Amino acid sequence: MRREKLTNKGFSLIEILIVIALAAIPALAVGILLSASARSWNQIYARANSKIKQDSLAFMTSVQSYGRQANQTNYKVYRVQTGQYIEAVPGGGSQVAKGQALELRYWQENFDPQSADGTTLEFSNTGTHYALYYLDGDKMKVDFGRVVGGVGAVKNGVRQTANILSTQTLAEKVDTSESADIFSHTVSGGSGSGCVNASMKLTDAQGVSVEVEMAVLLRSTWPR
Amino acid sequence: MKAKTKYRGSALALALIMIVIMTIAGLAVLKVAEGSLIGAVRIKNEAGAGSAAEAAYEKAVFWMSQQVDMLDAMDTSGISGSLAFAQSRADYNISFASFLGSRPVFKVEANGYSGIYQKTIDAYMVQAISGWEMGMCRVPSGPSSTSKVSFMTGEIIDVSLHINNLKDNPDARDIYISGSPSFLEHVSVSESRYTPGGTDKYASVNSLFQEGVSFNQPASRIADRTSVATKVTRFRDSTASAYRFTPKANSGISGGIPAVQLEFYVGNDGQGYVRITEDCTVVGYQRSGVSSNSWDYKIDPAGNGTTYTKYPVYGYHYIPGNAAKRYVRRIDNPSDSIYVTQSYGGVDGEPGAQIFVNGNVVIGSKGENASSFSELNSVKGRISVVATGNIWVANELKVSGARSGDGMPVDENPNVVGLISQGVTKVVDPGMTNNGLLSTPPTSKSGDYYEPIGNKDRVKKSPIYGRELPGTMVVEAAVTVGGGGWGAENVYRSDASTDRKNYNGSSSDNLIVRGSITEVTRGVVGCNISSTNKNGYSKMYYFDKRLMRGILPGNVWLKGKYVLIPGGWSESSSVNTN
Repeated sequence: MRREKLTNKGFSLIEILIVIALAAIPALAVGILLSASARSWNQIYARANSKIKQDSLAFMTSVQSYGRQANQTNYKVYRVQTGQYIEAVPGGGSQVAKGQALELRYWQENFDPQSADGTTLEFSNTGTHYALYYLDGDKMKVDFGRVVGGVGAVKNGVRQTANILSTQTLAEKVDTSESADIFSHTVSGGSGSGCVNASMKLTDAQGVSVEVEMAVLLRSTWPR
Repeated sequence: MKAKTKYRGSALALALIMIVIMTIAGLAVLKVAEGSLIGAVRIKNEAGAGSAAEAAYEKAVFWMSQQVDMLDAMDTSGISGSLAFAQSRADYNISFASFLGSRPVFKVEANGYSGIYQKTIDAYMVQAISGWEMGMCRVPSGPSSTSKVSFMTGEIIDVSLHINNLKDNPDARDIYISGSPSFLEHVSVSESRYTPGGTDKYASVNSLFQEGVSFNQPASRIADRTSVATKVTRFRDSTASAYRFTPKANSGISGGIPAVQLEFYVGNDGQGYVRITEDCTVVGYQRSGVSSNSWDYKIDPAGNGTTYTKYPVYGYHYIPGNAAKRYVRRIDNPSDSIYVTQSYGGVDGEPGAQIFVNGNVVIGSKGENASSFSELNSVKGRISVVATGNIWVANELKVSGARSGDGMPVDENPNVVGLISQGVTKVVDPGMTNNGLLSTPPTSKSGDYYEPIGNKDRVKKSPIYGRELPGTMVVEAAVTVGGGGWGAENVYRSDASTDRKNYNGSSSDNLIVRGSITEVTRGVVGCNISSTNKNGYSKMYYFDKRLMRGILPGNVWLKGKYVLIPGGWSESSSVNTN
């Protein structure tokens, strides 16, 4: 008797289960990879674009930019105590002065050899404008203002507001739980070395922190 | 026969689907990684380009500090250089930019490259100016020896100070301090702060520098005779021929020293003048022996700069009988030929009056002339005097015009004078009355006549040769001494009849300088001034801040340090297209 012809047109249950099981292995691997990558990406993206990260970059960029243009001869690091700005001096045995605020003096207009004259080189021309970096609560702000009659950001220990041109908030969520001494510099004799260090920590509501550690060398030494 | 199975290739389809999915996933991962990498590389390259540009700027400025003379070192197309780092590179170009007053301004353009990023720094620089700078804080005391000069308790140094590296014992400071003098302005030194063993040798004196102290600063070029000679040569070449002098001494006067006498005054018409007397003959005085004669030394012109020679100090002088050798010129009119303009690269500096003397210069007029002029020994105009020999200042020298309550010329006062010598520049006793040099009235010799200078001696008023300096001696000038030190010679005052300067009662007399001092060595000014010994002067030096503006004619500054001018720093970023 002739054997009946097999006409299997589908998979058996076992075959399907085996295929699914086999397919699940790479799919699971890919899924895990995708998930990890997405999580990693999200983390990287979040860190790169987080508010505290952007704030820290804004702070660094500002201090670097204005710092390099600033004058070594009249910048000041201040300790701020009950609203009084007192020039920071080194502690006992140290040569490093630390404080919460930094005043830089710079020239708003770049030198133009075509229009300048001897008055550019005035002994007293030690900066036409100032930038005062200071803490306002947990915000790092900067005042940009004009130097008038030799008076810049601070007079008699008081922050001046009359000649402020603009105020910017560079960073929020400044974390001073460990230290509020954001700015520091080395003092030789009675004046600073001209290199300002900044150390600032920002901590957001999720507890994520960014720490800024930077130094800027003030390039001008006028009138030395 | 085995039955034929009819599978329809679903496995292949599934495999393809899996491959597609995995490819997409892989690309996504790669994209994430690439994004992170690009971000990191961008930050790294930006920082790298910036660092490279700053390195190029530093190298350019260092190169400038090493030059004998910047204008001489450059051709008009500028100076270029480059630096290579592992992952970045940089180049710079130094060019002449302009004159501000008579001070040349140089532009440093520094570019840093890293990846596609380029950072460009444009910096405009001028040669720095110190109130008081010196090759060494020591005074020559013998043919090959020097003695240290200390800043003492009670001294107030209200002028920025620079001292070159002595290159002696590195464990010793190059600034000598006894007690607690007050340094009110910035101090800079060329030596290191630390000994080779790492000890801070300034730890005990740091607090004295109220405006700070800088270390490892570029050396003043004053100690480089080639630098001084280059400046002098350019000055000579730019001076109008009518104001270039080579004085000749009267051969009939034994040991006569050739000199030109310059007397500055403001006439009764309110105009500024100089009376020039050519071919004067100075009778000098040179002590014998070595001990107690340290003030008689200057740098031996024939040596290598570390040996010293005695030289005849000013005693008195004769002027030619030929009246044509003495004449008067205005110095306050920029239209007059005494005013010249130094230029470079087609750019002119500020015009100024220039006098060049290939020899010695005596500056000062006799006090008896005061009644004839509005202001005697006073400069109205902008003038520099350069001498290849010595400059002897035999009476006070002031600038005319308004001054502030502290005695300094006000900022708007346009009058200024510079004294530059390749020998020494000294305040001198105008009569040498204590050494028998003028024990008898000088008589005319070989057609020349004795010319009294300074003031009549307050005791010996009758003989014309009894001369003395004022008790308070004022010199308002930018003084540059290329062959030794600035100081006072023979200003002894042991008793009223033989002294060489007037004196202020029981207190010490003062030598007031309002200007600047640049000297190779120190020079003796005061001699152990005490209640019983009033020889010499107490130093009272003040920097004339107007000099910063480049009002002094002749571009004669010699500091090795170059600084940014106000507003002279700018930077920009761009895509590197090179």
